[in-house]
Amino acid sequence: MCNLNLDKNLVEQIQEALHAAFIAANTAEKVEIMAGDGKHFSVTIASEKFRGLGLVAQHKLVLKELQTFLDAGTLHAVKIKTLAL
Amino acid sequence: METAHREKIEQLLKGNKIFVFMKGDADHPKCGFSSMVVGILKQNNASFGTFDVLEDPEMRQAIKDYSEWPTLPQVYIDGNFVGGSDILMELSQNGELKAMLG
Repeated sequence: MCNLNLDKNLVEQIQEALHAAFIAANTAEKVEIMAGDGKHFSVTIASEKFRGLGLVAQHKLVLKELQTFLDAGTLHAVKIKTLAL
Repeated sequence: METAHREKIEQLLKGNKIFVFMKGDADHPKCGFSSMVVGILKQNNASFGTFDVLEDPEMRQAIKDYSEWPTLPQVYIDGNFVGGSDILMELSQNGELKAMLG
């Protein structure tokens, strides 16, 4: 029920989507994805886009970008860590 | 979301300072993330109500629509959506959760 299998291709797709959404000119901005053992998946994003937002709002921005993956069912659970720059 | 579902959710939140929509219940969580949330709340000696979404697929969807949040578990304090397991863990680690539960 909480398991999730990711192939490399999916990780790359997610990386691209998050990069496009959260990385602008600021060099401190970053997106890190850990696929772990293929069942655990986590993203850490540092971005100016989060500035002034609460944690729920910050995570919602990330989840919005992951919506297509969630809808497809490929992504059931993702651990999110956001940092406002 | 149907009015009946919204009313049910609001009633549950009104009746419980801390409430968790989750998979399973506090004694038998049926997902690692639900289990983590229950564990954090118990560590903080919080008493909380739970709703098992696995028992009610319509409510499972309704709560996602209510919070505009796509995943379970979902933790509410004083009627406000606080977050899922990641945010609860972060709030627990940075000390903010203690204040919110107080």
